Amino acid sequence: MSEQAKTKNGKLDLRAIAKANRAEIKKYETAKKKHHASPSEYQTKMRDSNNLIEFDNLQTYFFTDIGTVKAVNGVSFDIPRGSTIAVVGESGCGKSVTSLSLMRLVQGPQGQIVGGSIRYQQSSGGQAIDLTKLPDEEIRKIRGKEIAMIFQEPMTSLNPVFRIGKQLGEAIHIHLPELSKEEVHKRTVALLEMVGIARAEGITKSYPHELSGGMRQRVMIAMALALDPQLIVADEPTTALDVTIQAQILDLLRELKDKINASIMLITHDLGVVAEMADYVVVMYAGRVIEQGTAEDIYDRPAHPYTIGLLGSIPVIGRKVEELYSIPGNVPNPIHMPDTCYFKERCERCVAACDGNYPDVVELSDTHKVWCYRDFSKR
Amino acid sequence: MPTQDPKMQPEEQTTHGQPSVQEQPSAPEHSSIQTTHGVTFGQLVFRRFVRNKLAIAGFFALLIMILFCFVGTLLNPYREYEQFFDPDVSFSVQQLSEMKDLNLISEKIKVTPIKMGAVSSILGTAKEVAGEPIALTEVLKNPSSTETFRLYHTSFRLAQKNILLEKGFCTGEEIKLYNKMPITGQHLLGTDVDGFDVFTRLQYGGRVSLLVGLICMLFAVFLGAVLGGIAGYYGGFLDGAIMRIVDVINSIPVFPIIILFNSFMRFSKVGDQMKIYYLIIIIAALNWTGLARLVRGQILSLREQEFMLATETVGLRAGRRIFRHLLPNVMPQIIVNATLLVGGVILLESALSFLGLGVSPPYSTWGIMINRVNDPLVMIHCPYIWLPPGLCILLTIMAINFVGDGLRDAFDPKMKR
Amino acid sequence: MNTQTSENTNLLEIKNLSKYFPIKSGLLQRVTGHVRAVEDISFTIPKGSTLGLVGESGCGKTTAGRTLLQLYKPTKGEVFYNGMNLAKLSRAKLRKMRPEFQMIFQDPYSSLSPRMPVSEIIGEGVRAHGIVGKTEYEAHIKKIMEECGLQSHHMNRYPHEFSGGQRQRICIARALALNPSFIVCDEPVSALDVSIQAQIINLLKQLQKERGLTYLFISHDLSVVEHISDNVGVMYLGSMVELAAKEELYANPLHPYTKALLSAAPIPDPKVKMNRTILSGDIPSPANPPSGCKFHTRCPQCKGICEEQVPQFQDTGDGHYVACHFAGA
Repeated sequence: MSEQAKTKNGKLDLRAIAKANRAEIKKYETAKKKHHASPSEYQTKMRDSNNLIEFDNLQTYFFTDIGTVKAVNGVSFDIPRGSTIAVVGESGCGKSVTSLSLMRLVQGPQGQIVGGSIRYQQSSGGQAIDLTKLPDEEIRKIRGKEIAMIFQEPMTSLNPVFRIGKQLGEAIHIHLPELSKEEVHKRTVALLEMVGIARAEGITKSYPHELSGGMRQRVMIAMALALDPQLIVADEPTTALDVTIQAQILDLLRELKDKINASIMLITHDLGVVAEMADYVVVMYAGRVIEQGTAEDIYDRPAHPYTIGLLGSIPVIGRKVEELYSIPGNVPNPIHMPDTCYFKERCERCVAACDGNYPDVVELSDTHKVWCYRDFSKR
Repeated sequence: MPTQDPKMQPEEQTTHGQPSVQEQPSAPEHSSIQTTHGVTFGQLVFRRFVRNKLAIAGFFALLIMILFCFVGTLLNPYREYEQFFDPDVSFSVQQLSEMKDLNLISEKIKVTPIKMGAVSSILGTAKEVAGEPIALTEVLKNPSSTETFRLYHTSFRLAQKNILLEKGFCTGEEIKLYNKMPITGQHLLGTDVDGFDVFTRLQYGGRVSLLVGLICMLFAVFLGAVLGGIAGYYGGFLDGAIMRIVDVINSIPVFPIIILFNSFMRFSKVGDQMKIYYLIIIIAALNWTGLARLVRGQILSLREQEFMLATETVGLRAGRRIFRHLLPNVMPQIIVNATLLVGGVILLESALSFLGLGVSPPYSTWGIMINRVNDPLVMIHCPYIWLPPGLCILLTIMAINFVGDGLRDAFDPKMKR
Repeated sequence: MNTQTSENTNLLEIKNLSKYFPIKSGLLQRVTGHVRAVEDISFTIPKGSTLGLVGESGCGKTTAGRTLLQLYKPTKGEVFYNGMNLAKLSRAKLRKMRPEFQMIFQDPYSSLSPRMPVSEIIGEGVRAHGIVGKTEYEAHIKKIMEECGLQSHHMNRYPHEFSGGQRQRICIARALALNPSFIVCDEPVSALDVSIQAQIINLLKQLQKERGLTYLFISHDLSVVEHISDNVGVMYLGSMVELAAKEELYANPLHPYTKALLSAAPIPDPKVKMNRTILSGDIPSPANPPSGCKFHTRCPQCKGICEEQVPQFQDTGDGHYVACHFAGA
């Protein structure tokens, strides 16, 4: 976007930006409407057959009246089959928008996927498809069935006026209309039992408000599992829960993942939860991936100053420090960002090259990648 | 109770629900806040309001309406209760010339020559036959003519009527009310059945309608904010008592009460001027309840916010807590609702006047003016009498509602859609 | 820890503090029961130290903090501040005392009046109590803001222009401007981003050192509490179940609930995959707490006695208090 050009007397011309962005939105919206689905347009090939999902240079922007928020700005990473991948970052870093882009739930008209692709290997030897180009009717068949989501707020994610059994049953019925009522009910009860709810039969008849937070999150997980998804996107699944309940839910998720052989995309800011759960970790900052690697890579050999700072700034039980390391400054908002390293202002390990363009990827090992100008050979 | 939802991420929390119900990720809203440094809340609201085209259109329509009613009367030569008259007689050329010199008629008008027809066998008098209208200046060129002329579509005001009588141009019986006359240069929207100028009445009627709306709104806002505020802040018994009063008022049927009140006023011979004030009080007394409920609800929820707890720990007095911390936060809702209330009151007043329950003639309000439509002849032949006030009401209410909606969106952009 | 001896060193002594909230129902709002948000808790806070209060949601830790500041009227019990019983003070006297003990809140978004500029938020109380004279007023506000890491040109801005961390700094500045000696920090960092959390925690520690402040630090995060506290109390369903010096409590937890909490806290190290004690079941409602030991419904070591008898909150030695029938064993 040419927003740098839209300045008047050195100040941002907000009106011009607003106008340009509104035009931009219109362009994408009309493109969406025109889209007729011909399978050749969205069929694609996976780079690695082992992967379930491949994010490739994904760009999701919000065109607002005061500028373009590059919420997701060229994000690439893979989700291998049967693994748990954690996307970590602070508020506004774009981790949630990444998952919403995957589900194609980015809130329009301001939010638009403007570039890149999300390749998805369909189940049962099906074609690989690009989710960003998939027409709306097609994505609806995948959403909830093959890719399921667990939300942060178990309080608001369930409809308060329907019984648990009905809500779960409906989710099953929509995707598997051939099942009879009894079969749906049987499946509902079995699901609730699977997520560790003892009185499953009784719970189907209760309303959401009658359940505790932990129970509701279990129901949400049951709902996500209802159709044997290939991928479960868990967006801060335990943030709203108490520590002891969080332990229960994390335990359950780990156990279930092996049982149903699905991948998990875990989105969280809690580095403790990530260490517990994740095989691979993707660290995001201001809409970009700044470091990614296996859990051991990230926790034992963090390379990016931001990752190092984050790990140093959390107090750990049993680790005695007089003062916590704190990253100076504030979490930036990815709007009007210069094309330098986004972390530069807060970084205490800057080198001369940091004044240049956004850094390229440095591959420290097969799995460990970092986007930084530091000299890694000297470590 | 302690709520422990750790690390609620202000930017992202909104994105987590089902997409259909949940809000936009507040990234745009949030960021607008971060980059527009040094902008007060008022400026922010103003900017958003100005961007809303409908609201701005409404605002200007309302402004024009107010100017029309309050300033327009200064430019209007006619008074509110001025009736217009029409001499039902023919004038000679000499008389016309004299009238012109006395400035009773303008030289630009046209006059209609009258000839006497055959004597009717039934009535025993000759029937007048009108010719083609001729310009007055033409007629005056020939002072010796014996022709007589009628002044159709020319009206006389009360003062002029007396001169006509004094000069002996006509007798008292020959002067009649200039009623239901069509649109002419003299009367932009014609005259009504009582010989009032519709355009003038429209201005003065609008004054009453707008003032009634405004004053009722002020009363209602005052009552609603104070009582709702007390109920919300102190709670307990006061809250219960005030809210029961609200319930009682809400269950009073409006029209029967006003009919009752109207006959009571007629019984005790209350003057027409006073009647307007009583009406304002009655309408206000019936309309504050919605605001009181709203304010109470807002204050109840604000009271539980942590910043109110903070004022307590800081040790501020109750007065300061209410007026500096609570009220400014309720102001947006009050302003929006007050605006919409004005519209509602104007409508109610019009409806009452239309039914003859509100302000009564000779006072004019838009409602009374539409009331003329009861006469089928007026309805069919004289739309200029009842249509303009109707359009005025429509325009005003729509403008007010647009402004109100615009204000609401400006105060709380998330309410949109 | 002993309540009788250390009158001089203890800034705060809480004795048998309880707070019940009535449950009203029906048309006449008759009181049909009570939520026992805080039940019979006692502790002391020595001057210049920090007491951490941990527990899960609904355990009454926030209520305890608010009740001891007299924001809620205590149902029972006494709160001695410098030897003065706050629970018995009149409203006017209490208001005069207010600047002495301040509070920092959890949610930096709802704890600042949205329609007020920052200088007003911080300075309002200073003027109301005449903390400093008129001539020094502005300098005082600026000094406090600087101490809390805010710039003086922020004075005329409104809260919505700040990020969460900065807002929390404003909250701290508001409290600090009144020159308090005791501050209740109610989950001050749990709504903040990880990198900002550390900033605020460091700020709080630094201010404590400079000004000799006393804190009651309420949190659900065991690691944060360990980092900042000198003594730690663990609450469950309105009762204090364990109270000890920090090192003692984390090294040698005696109550099974404390043990479970410690084991449930996730450790940011993928190599530590410990076998944790996962508590089954949910937290019971404080309106209808279990009989006997309130923890017995979820306790892995529950025996018959637990269902019948309420365990005493007693010292097991060295000021390590615990409320469990089997703590000694």
